[in-house]
Amino acid sequence: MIRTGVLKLWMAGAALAGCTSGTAMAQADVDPSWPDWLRDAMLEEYDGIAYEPLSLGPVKTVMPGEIQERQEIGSGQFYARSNDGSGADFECWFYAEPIDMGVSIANVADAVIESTSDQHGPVGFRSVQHVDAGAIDGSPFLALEWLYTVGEAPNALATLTKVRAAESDGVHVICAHSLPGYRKSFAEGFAELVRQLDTDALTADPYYQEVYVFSINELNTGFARITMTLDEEGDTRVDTTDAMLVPVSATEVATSDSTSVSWSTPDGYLINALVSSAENGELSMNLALRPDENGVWAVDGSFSGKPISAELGDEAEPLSPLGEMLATRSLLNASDVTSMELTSWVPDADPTVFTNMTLVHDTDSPGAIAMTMGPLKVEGEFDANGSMRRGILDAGTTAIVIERVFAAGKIP
Amino acid sequence: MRGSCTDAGRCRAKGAIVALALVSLAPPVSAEGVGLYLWELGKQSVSGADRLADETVAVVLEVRDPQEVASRIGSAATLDVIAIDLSSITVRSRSTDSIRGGPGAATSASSFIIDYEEPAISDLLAGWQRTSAAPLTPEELRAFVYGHVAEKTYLRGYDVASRVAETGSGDCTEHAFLLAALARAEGYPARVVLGILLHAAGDEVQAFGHAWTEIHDGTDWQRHDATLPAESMPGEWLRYLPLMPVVNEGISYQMGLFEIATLWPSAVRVVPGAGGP
Repeated sequence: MIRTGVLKLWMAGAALAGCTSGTAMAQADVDPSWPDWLRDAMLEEYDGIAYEPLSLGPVKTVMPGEIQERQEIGSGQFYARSNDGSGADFECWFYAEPIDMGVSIANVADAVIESTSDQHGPVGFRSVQHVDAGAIDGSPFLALEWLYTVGEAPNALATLTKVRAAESDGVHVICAHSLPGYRKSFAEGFAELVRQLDTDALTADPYYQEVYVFSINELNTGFARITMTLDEEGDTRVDTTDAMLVPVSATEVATSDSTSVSWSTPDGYLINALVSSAENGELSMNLALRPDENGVWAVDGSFSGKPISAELGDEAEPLSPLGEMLATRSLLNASDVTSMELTSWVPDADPTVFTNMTLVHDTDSPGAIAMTMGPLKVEGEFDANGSMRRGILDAGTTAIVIERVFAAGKIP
Repeated sequence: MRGSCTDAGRCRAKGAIVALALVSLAPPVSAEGVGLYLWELGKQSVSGADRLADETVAVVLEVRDPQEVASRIGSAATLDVIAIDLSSITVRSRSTDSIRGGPGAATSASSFIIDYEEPAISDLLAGWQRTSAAPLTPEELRAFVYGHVAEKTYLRGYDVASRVAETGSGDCTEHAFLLAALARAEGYPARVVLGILLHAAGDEVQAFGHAWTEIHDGTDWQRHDATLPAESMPGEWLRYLPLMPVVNEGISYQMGLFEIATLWPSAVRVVPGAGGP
């Protein structure tokens, strides 16, 4: 079911490959070429930290150190700042509404850097130091770090702005900290804040959910979160959210955000679907797929900046993401069949047609299924639910891995 | 898209106390390198690399499927396949900008990605101060695209030509798509080619994945690279190895680009003087 993001992931990988020698690819804590004082500063960490409870609107959690400020900054938006003892603020923004995590974390980083520049002079050197993605107890997160200088030589100043963003229970939180070092401390403080986040359940309880992390050439660049909830009629609503940060050069980070909502019959057939994507905060795809009263499927919206409207016919019976999992599970359990064809709507590939996908079960290796969709081929390992644990996209010179880092619930 | 922190001003840090350390840092790193290329595929020292300009050069491409790659580049008239083994293909590159072959109808049509019928493209051409009724020359168009795409960046994905016309932003693929669209609008058959660019300066040769435009002059295809300020760069040597044209120009073009990427070399090695006459 993760196949819809695979093509976009490769496109991101192709962009990433354009900066193979840049610091954007570096994941080292300390660069040996830095001056001694900076290398030492980059290794600074807290020596133990206390947490203070925070209650702010619907948000209840903890922050490291002593909370200095808390306020509502807009409808459903909150800000809090603590002194964590490092000498820099631990700042957080909370959003009790959906946000696009990829572009938002990049913009918060830019805003913090701009604020630093306002106080200390123009930005000089600026380099992506780190990007990461993962899950904290089922909450997907992104991380971004920029190393930069402000002011004019010989009095230039350097700092490291670290930003992390996560979503839990319908609340998004983005935190920032600017000081060389404290990388692990900031990550741990943020993780504890996310673990303790209690929002009085702003979202419906899914019966199944999973989080995947995408990596491109061993760099964790993004995540996808999939949730399935039942409606009163017994149909399933499938929500998919993904976000990516791709350092395309030493000084540029591209962002990508997508959401989709599709409805599925209990046996896995697609009822309708909405999908929306933005690249660097710019809408790139916004489509609605639904059948008309005669059962003729039609898609409307925009794609690559152009309006599109097309009929896809009435013969296909496309599967929903739930249907793909059910089909995969049946293939894994079949004793007399080792392959099957699926029909799905894969708008990244071509929104105006239904796309066929072939699954081939390697019966010598339980759970191993190769998925082929046109030139795309993913070697996947699946669990008993029909959910992919790990997949490797065969993408030529770029190594692209999709790894499930969280799963909860059960497919009926 | 959904409500988000899309405006950096909305996310602005409030009252941040930014602790900084006094520093004198190493010189800034350039993000641009030597050009707007897709992939860096290798770097090697070659004694007397400047002399490569006068030679027919042999280039070893390390690929996963040499036979398939050989069949795909068979139509590229500036390359001869001279050896194939299990993991590589060796090609001989001649120093010519002309590629034999006639244009097909598809290279004159408006397509999803080379969409010269979109208003954004016609508006660009309408703004041109023409001195005659004759079509603009390919070199005029190439130089125009170089200037119009003023924001040289890798942040764009694979934008269609009309989008490039609007944003004036992109890397080699955006330059190539826009130039192809303007050329077709002016009546020239044009296509976008993906391949390898060899760049030599001093004793160092670098290889990059790259995209450029070929425009048909009525006899041959001529190469035009809109990422460069001029067709020739004094003091630098460039050799283009066309591997595969972009054939899928439809709405599923990203699948076509992906297919090309699966065949792409993982490394490139230049063998000066080994190309033969």
